[in-house]
Amino acid sequence: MLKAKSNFKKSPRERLTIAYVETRLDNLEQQWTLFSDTHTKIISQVKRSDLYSSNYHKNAIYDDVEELYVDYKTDLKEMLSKLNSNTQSVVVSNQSSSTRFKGLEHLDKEDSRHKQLKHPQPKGTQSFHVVKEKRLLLCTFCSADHKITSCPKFSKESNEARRKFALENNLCFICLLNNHSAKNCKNTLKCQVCKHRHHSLLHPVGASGSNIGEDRSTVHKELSSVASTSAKDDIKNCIAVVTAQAEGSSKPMRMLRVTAYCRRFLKVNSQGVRSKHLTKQELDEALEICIKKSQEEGFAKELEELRKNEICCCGCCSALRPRYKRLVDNIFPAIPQDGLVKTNMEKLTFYSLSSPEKLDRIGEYLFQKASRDIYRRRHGFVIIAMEAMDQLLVACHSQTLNLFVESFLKMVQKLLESTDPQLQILATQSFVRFANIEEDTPSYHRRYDFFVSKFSAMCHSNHIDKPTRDSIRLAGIQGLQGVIRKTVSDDLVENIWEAQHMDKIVPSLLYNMQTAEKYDTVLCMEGGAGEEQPARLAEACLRELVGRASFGHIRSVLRPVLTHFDRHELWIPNDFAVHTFKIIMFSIQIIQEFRRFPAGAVLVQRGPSVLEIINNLLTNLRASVARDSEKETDEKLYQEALINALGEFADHLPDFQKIDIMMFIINKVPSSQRANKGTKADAMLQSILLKSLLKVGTTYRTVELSKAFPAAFLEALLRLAGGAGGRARATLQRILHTLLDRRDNATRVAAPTVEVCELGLIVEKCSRQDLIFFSKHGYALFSSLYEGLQLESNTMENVEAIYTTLALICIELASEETVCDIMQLILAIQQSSLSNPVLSVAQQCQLQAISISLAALLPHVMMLTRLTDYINKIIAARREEAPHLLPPLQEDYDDLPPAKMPNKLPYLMMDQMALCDLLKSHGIDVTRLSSTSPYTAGNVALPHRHSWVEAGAAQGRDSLAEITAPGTELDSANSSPGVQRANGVASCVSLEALRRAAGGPSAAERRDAERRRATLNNAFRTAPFDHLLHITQPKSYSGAVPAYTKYFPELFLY
Amino acid sequence: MEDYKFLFKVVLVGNAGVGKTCLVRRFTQGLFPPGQGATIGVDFMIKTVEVDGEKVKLQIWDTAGQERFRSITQSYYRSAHALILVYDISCQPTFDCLPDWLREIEEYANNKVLRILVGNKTDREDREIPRHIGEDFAQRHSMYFLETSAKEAENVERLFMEIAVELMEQAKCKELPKYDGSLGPINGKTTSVGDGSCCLRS
Repeated sequence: MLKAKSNFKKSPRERLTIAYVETRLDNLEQQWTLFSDTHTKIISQVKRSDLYSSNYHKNAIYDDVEELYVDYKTDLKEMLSKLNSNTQSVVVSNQSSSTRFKGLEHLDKEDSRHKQLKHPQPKGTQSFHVVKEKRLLLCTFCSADHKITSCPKFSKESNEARRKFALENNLCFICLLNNHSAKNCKNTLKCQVCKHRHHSLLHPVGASGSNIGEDRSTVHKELSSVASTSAKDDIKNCIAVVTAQAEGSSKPMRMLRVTAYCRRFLKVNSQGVRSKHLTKQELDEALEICIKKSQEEGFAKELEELRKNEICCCGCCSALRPRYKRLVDNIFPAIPQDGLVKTNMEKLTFYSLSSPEKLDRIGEYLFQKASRDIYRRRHGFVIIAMEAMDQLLVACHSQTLNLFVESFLKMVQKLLESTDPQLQILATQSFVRFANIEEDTPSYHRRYDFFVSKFSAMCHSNHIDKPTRDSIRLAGIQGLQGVIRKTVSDDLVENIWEAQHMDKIVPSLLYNMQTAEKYDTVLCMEGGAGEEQPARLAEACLRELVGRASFGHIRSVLRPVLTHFDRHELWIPNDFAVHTFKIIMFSIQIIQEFRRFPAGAVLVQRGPSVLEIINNLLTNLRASVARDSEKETDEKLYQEALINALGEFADHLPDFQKIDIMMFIINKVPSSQRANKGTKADAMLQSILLKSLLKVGTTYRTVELSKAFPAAFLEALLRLAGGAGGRARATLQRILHTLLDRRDNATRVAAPTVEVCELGLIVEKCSRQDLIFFSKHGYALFSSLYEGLQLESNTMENVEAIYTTLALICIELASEETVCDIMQLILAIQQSSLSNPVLSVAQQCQLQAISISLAALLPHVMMLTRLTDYINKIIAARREEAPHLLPPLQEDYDDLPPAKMPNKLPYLMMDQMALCDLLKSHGIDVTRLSSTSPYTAGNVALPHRHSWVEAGAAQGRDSLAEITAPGTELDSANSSPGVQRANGVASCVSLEALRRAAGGPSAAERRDAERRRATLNNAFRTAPFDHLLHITQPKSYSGAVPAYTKYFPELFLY
Repeated sequence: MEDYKFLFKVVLVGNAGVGKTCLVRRFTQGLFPPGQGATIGVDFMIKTVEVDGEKVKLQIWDTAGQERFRSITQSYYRSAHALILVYDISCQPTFDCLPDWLREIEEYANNKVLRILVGNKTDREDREIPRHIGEDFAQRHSMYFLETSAKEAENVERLFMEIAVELMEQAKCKELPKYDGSLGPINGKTTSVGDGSCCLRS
């Protein structure tokens, strides 16, 4: 590698020198182009060999060499102009330059120990002299074969004579050619003595020309010898020599020249400084002496000159500095108002692209420069530096950026620390630009803490001037956005979701959003024009933040939001809160869209956090309910938003988690028993929670009923079904609908009808698991539904809802095993409508209607034709005589004559025995329906006992249900035997018998019932609860243990 | 100008209107802003001071005293090296709130944080809190105590200089509070501010 490189270094030189010999002197520029071409080649080579560790070092050397080349080129140019007039001095200076190269070579060697670097350059220059001297040129002064600049005769003339000659012959004062004036001279040559723009031979001081040559040669010789050895001690010696010469020389001119050479010498040795052979201090010392000397001499002009030199030498002379520093310096204009020097910036960019390993140094240097400028309050330069950094950042490849970014961020921080809002905004803009760059290499140590803190502080700016304040805030928000962007995607960097960051970010955003006068509709995507408002931007930023948050992190966003609202008391006129939540929810929704793809595994991991979030949301809901806000509508809006959010949330979870969530919610629902104190809020909360449950439920797709209804969940649901208020019950039924309905039949059976054939139901054979589920829970489910139908407070809506549930159960679970149970329930409903005195006439009719509809539905689903016929017969009969017993349901049946009351029309009822027969004829085992098996008896009797138990409980609590209690008690005592009697006589029982049984209690019996009711009432009112418990327990245990536990959970649990 | 050796974060807390912002501005900008409005959220200033010939950069976070900004100001305690608790010597309620502030500091700030109690507005004639009461309080809660006047620039410089000196001594003894883990959330890789920022900078 090393060799390849040195070869490369050699090759341009060689080629160059050969070309040099062949081409004319004037082609120097061409050479330079050639050289720079090779230079690029080398750089590309360097790039390719990027990975080698030594490469950096080598490159630095290359820079040095290149620098030297530039030096050398200038020398050559000078020589060129002098060539013919002063051969001697040219040779000398050529020698000097060649020795200088040698010296440098030496230095290089020392730098890269093993490097065998040979500069063919010296050889080349010598051969160049040979060629040069042969060339034919006409001297304007002596007409000899050389240029006037190298004319020995001309140089021997006195200075005045030379000037006079130049003037008379219209020679250019710079290059001494006669075809143009100094004004138009393209030559870059400068006086070697004073660096002014005239030829050295025309330097106006009185010393003789020849002296120059002599002095130069002597000093040069000394210097070059020193340079070539270039050991530290020698250089020191050399300085001593120079100093001595400076001290010894009395003539100002000589003195000057010495310093000039000294400078040159220093230039050479600056390489030495870099290679630590020589401290800068020593060089400075030498110079100091020179300066002192010249001061003693008291020549103002020379002093000035020296000052220039001093400045040049002591740090700012561009030639002394590494290339990257020079390039950086060049991008700064003289006056800050001029802005970045575009062309130089391009050079810098090109340089940093071609040697990316220099990038961090450039960054460092720029940072130093800028911080100096900040300190000196030269903001113009700071802005330029920042601009340059931005450009570099954007231009450079991401993998090389790493180190540069460090200084970039330091710079941004520095700017942010300043109090000038202008700079702060500038810094933010840069930071945002930086944030948009994708880095592929992580940086573990980078910290954004300061940025978060500062940007948050900026968001709260209360600058006196409103536009400034706005722009600072805007910048702050943008900055935050940038930080979020930068950190969120990268797990390895700082965790932005930590409380300490979120506590700063979120309130800042909210604070800004708050300031907006009105909250625009949420769902509108932010229009481009709106970006200027801090509030709008904050909103967008919040959206982004939430959008980028994963489930686990939403919580950390929500928490500060809530605290913020608490602190600023934003709950009361809560439109802002609603607004915010809408935003959050909307954003969550958006991410959900994204999240569809990585399903399963990811979701499982999120499990625990989900419940937490739900919990959060529910707590909010509760809080919102608890707040008895005057603005009902707002509150409602807010609740709606939350419920929707919940639904959205659940929508994207796997099914088993949905059930979990539903369980969770239902546990949060205050139980009806406890709610009996009747606070309005509790009832409201209940209904809201049920609504949310429904929302979650709708997203759930039931596959297996047993999974959809885990025992505990079902139990809780059913418990609510019994106890809640009318609306809540309807909601609950809707939940059941959504969970039961697997085939989208719910809408079709929304209202009861007997025209089942026209419904177009989709029926599938129910699966084994479902049957097992049914045999386990169907009983509880049915009794609960039955219970629901017996309530006085039922409206048509409730009845319809229960009908739908039952119909769905029919559809979903109809099979030979279940048909009996369903039939039994239907009969029980029919029976209850006749015998339950609590129910109004309308309710009785409604119950009749739904029972007949269900009865019609069941055989249709089961394809039991004979049963269908039977039901149709009844339907037809009813249609003629009592259309009110058929669907559709009506709110009231006021105009019903007493004769048409359902219980006056027993022949229009379905008969159990007939049903049994029909079912049997279909080959269905009807033993359970017809036999006196305990289940059958229990099933029919059970609902009554349920109501008894419930009534008892209700009575104990002084609820309105007290009238129900005796009534149902009576009913249960009454109807159960009736059925049993019917069962007892088995299949031969006539329709008459049943009619008698179903006909209801006689007048005497009713009186008796009144009396019993009174005593029972009394007993329940006066007896202590324990006693009541004692009384009720044995009875309940006999037939309905599960029901008992269900309705008195508090007895067991609490 | 750039090569500071230490960076310390100082956070000012205290009731609204005790003169936190005035203290900061007096120190950083050398002026007393009359009719200073209430700070919103947090404000931020930088001042570099020299202690024993070493440059120390003080990052001063000036928080809002108002209750409603408490949530955001609290989040700044955590990264602080020093907390200046300010009360107004001419206003008893501001002194009475100090225990509340201390509780908050206990809760949110690092327990090793340097705490300084400052009674501000000594230029006021109507002093309500005698000096010794403030001193007692500070002693009871092991805090430093100083009475200042931002208006008269009395003790302001001294306050911050002493903080710088104290913090530097702490830093040199390597006793500087470590911020990782102990307070932050449990997931080991928290990278809060402190420890890196106050290490040596060349």
